[in-house]
Amino acid sequence: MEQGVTLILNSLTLISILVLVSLGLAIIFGLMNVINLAHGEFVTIGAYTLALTQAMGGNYWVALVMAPLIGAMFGLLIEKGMIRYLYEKPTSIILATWGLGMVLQQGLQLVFGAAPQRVSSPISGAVDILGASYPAYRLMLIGFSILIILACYALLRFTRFGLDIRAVIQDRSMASALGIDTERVNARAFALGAALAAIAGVLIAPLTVVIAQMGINYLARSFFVVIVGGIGGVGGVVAGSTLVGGLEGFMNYHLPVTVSQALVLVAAIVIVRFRPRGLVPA
Amino acid sequence: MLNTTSLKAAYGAVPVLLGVDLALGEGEILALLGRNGAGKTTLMRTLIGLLKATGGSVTFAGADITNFPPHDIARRGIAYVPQGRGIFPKLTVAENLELGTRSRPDGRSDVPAEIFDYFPRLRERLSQSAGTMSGGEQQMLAIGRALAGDPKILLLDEPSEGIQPSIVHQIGEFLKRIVADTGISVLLVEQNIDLALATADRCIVMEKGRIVREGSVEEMSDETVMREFLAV
Ligand SMILES: Nc1ncnc2c1ncn2[C@@H]1O[C@H](COP(=O)(O)OP(=O)(O)O)[C@@H](O)[C@H]1O
Ligand SMILES: [Mg+2]
Repeated sequence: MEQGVTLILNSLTLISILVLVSLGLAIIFGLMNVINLAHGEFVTIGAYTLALTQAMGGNYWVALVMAPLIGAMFGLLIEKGMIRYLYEKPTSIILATWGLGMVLQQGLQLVFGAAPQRVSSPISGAVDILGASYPAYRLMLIGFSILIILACYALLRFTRFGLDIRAVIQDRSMASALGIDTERVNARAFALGAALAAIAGVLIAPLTVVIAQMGINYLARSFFVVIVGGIGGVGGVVAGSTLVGGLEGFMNYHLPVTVSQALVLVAAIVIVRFRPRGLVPA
Repeated sequence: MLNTTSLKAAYGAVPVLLGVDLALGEGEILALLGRNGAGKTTLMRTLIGLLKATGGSVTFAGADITNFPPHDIARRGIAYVPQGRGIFPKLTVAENLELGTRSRPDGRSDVPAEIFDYFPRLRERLSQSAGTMSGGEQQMLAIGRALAGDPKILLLDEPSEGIQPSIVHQIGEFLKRIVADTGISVLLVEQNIDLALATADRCIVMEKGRIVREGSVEEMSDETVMREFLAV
């Protein structure tokens, strides 16, 4: 019982992390067909925002507010300065964002050094759940990701910007012929995706080793999530994360991490073979 | 109101419009006829800015709008109903209509009530996915959505395509009523000659990327003209 509860909560933590990282990626990939290999670095930027804020004596909550703003600013800068010239050339985008990721990693390492950054979580201690004692911070992370999922869903479903995004995903030409400035939608959506990744970075940071290369850990898995779950919707991200994170969480318990990650990859391939548009196509 | 001078357009290296001159007057319904592949849809796409002109110019209300981005052209008051209707099948009828208001200069996003006077059936279906409606209803939605932006010009590409004959007749009646009420101008591409002649004030005929004939509805109704330009 106790072990079962811990196992489920561990899986939920992993699923939450995947959801947080993948939401932004799904919006960017689904809307603009942009394969952004620098997405992991937006997560890193969020984690470094926390490290820097705490190093300067600020607290966790300040960082949690600052990170999405900094992420959005970076996202906007990169879309305006680079991505928007490359929409017609998908391969160039892959190369350019890969290069950008390297530059950001090396830049962070040059400025902050190679040693892991110190970060601390805002709450400590454990909570008793059905006989299992579980770290309170992880429960907070699960709660936050549920909030962020709901907020993203509401944004896409009920706001003007959300309707524009859904229209552009379905038919970009028609959307522009109706008077929607699709380039502006692109730029804002890119900024939103980066902001979400940066929030993820703050939330993840206390549970992991904060180094310049940390983003790589999340990049491949979040692409799995988006492809398995279905491109362009919140439902797809939740379904994909539940599958990838759930499987990995349960298998980690019995198998070495490398083996369970390989098995998740196999499962992803099988699913995409039978549902090429993902579990929950937008 | 809307004029083109020697307008040229191409798909890649293949020229399709070879120099189109046309003038659409205020409150006029102008029918654009021509065989399949003549370049009618290409002309519509160039007018709304989805395809770049490779030569010539488009002017609207005195301003040169050649190669302006589509959203800019739409916001100036040109609405486009593409061949195949171009509705968003996974969005609801209400959402499709709201997207029609994005071109309004006043920035409002409420759908004008007149739309539902013209097409009462849309009101009953507001929360339904647009893709689940019949072809005729989708065409009404596409026209209603275009009108929601309060345009000055309506570009309508083959509205009768794939629609029951009873509804085709209705669409013609709608168009005449809307033009009478609002003073909007319509450029109507039609393969259904009867609909075109019953609705339009004037006709032009396109062949291989050029306008080759222009005339009143009476002149066009002439059997020999029809055979010469429109028979397959
Ligand atoms: N997307 C496209 N790419 C290349 N050629 C096209 C494309 N669309 C149309 N064409 C060609 O342009 C010509 C005009 O087509 P179109 O404007 O659709 O004619 P119409 O609407 O009068 O039937 C045709 O020869 C057609 O094959
Ligand atoms: Mg056509």
